[in-house]
Amino acid sequence: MNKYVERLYNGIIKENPTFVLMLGMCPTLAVTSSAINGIGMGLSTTVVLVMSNLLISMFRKVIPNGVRMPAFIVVVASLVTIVQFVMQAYTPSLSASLGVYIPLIVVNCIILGRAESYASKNPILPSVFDGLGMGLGFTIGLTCIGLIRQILGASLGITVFIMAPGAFLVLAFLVAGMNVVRDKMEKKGKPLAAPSGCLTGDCSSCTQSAMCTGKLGKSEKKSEE
Amino acid sequence: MSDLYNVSSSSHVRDKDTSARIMLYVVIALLPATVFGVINFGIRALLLILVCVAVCVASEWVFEKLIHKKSTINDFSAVVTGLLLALNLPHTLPIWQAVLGSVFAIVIVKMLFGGLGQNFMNPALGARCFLLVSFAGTMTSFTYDGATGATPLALLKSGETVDTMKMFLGTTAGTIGETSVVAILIGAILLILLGVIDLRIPASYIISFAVFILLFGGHGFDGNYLTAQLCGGGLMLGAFFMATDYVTSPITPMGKIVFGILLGILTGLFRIFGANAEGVSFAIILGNLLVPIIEKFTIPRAFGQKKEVRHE
Amino acid sequence: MNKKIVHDALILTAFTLVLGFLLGAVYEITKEPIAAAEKAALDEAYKVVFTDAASFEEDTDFSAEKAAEIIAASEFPNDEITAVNKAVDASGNVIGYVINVTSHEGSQADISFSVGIQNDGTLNGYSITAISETPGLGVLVQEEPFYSQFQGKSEETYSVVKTAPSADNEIQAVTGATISSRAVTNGVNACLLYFREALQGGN
Repeated sequence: MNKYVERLYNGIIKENPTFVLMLGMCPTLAVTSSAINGIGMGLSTTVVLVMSNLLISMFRKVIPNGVRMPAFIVVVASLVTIVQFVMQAYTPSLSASLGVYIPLIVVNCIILGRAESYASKNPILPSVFDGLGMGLGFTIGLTCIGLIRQILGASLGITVFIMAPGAFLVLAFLVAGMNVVRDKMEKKGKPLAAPSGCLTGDCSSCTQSAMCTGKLGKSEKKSEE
Repeated sequence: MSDLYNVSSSSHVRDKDTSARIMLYVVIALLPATVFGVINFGIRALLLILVCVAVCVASEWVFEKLIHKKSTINDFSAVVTGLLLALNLPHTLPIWQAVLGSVFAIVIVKMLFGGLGQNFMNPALGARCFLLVSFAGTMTSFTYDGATGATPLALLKSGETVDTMKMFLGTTAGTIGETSVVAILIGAILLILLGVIDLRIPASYIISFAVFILLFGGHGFDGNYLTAQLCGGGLMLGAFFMATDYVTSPITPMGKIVFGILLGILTGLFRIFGANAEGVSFAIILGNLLVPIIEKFTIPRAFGQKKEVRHE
Repeated sequence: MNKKIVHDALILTAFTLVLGFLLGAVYEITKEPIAAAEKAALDEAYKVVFTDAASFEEDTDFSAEKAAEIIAASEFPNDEITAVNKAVDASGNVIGYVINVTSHEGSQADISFSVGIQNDGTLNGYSITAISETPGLGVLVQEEPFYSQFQGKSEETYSVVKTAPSADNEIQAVTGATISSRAVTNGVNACLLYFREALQGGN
């Protein structure tokens, strides 16, 4: 497979940030009360993700290792503020409905995670595609949740789905659905590509391994294999 | 060969009580409140009760078929869930909302967590709160004698006076099964006599609630107000039939009392300081969530065991 | 070692500077569109309660302290007048006012809304800008049939009743949401009071 297509596939299906990696849960649960909010949040995150991956990959040899975290944060925060200005100017109603969650993209762990684990070690073009894939995967996740909540909550009038508990319920069912699909494919003998990295407990390639507190124990790792 | 030589693992002494038998007792004990509800609110109430029970049993059966598990509908627990849910609904609720609530109770609150014995909160109350949040309009509009009216508790909250005698008998607006204190007490006494429930939870619940009302109700020692608070809303139904649910209440004797006091305080907080007039169902499901912690700290010491000394 | 720290710091500073300039440039470019968008959003909200007006001007005489005094002395002390705008017709005459009010009496949190009042004291209606009442109950105060009970009336104050209203100054509460209904009604009352005391006639 072409390595750019592979990056897209990785972000959208294999390591989908919402359904597989379970990253960025705060905006996922908070702004998905309608499909349009989901798309808006997803796309603005995608823009930031692509640009930050681009910049960080471009300067990966210039940024000293000792100050890489502050440097990444400066890049991401500036990009988010730019996106926020542009949205306020040209899509004011969307900007109003997403509210404080736009500035909060800065602390979205998907963005810093991709910068740290991919863009800072890979060439520019694959990094851009990595950001695009992850961003689209995130957008698809948010839009699915938003669409379901909108249909059940606003259209059918089951108010709980517009409120916070509805987000948890819908997310849980979508993740369960994803696992059913995964199981079925495995039984058929053509398994979906297994997620790699953190989820499988493979910490060898991870730069944050030393300070990571969420590692699987050795016994758990074996039973998964 | 005599039974004595029969080697088997414990338990060696068995009681004739089974889950099914206990559930059947509960259904029988709920009958007075059910019958009164139907007489009080009319045939629509009966329809709602039948729908809830039928949908609860059916969704348990279907769910177990789908996941290839042995059917457990014979233990009557789904019947109890359906009946309790219906008794907690206003009789005017649209049927489809009742159906949705029943499916939610069985599939999401009960079966997804592993079925009877594994559910982390009372299924009927979980569903009632789901419906209350989802359909705030239809779940809180009560009609009585053809006229839309506030429940006695809502009247009390807005500072009006209520007829406590009517509340005791149950001829007021409210959900199908909660209005008549008399009917609920008849069922409760039956359960206590049969040994199905013990008094620890209901008694500590009601007493601590009464104390809370006296202290913080803002009416001082007003007998009329206190009686109205005790007879109003779902307190009696909740205290005797839902807080005592085996699965979602503590098993230790001390824990039961702690649980009851917790519910009393929570209900008082919700009713006096909350935005709504009623708070029994939210108090009980919140209490349900704390049961594992309560049990952990109230495990009784086994005979002969020394008190654990903490080394600082 | 020392050299490394200085080197790292310089690079980080360079990054911050460049990005800071970039940010400033974007801010300059988007400043005007943002201001225009905000004005349009406000005008839109005011337009809802004053369809006859061609434009809106801020009332420069408005003083929050004076408004607070008037409100504090009234029967609805839990409301706060936050801004006053004049509604101006095509030929430049002031035809009424749009008063922004925040009620602290909501059942969940504050409710903010704009109330349109014509020069003769007739209510045009209100438009809610911030509300977090219970979905399905309290939020119904911004919809029919509750909303239209205020439109086109010119009473001095309104009171909330739970049954069908028998007089023009009675407003039937949204079923199950008396608190929210009362909060909105009192907010309208506060605006009317401020209008009579500070804007009408004397001004």
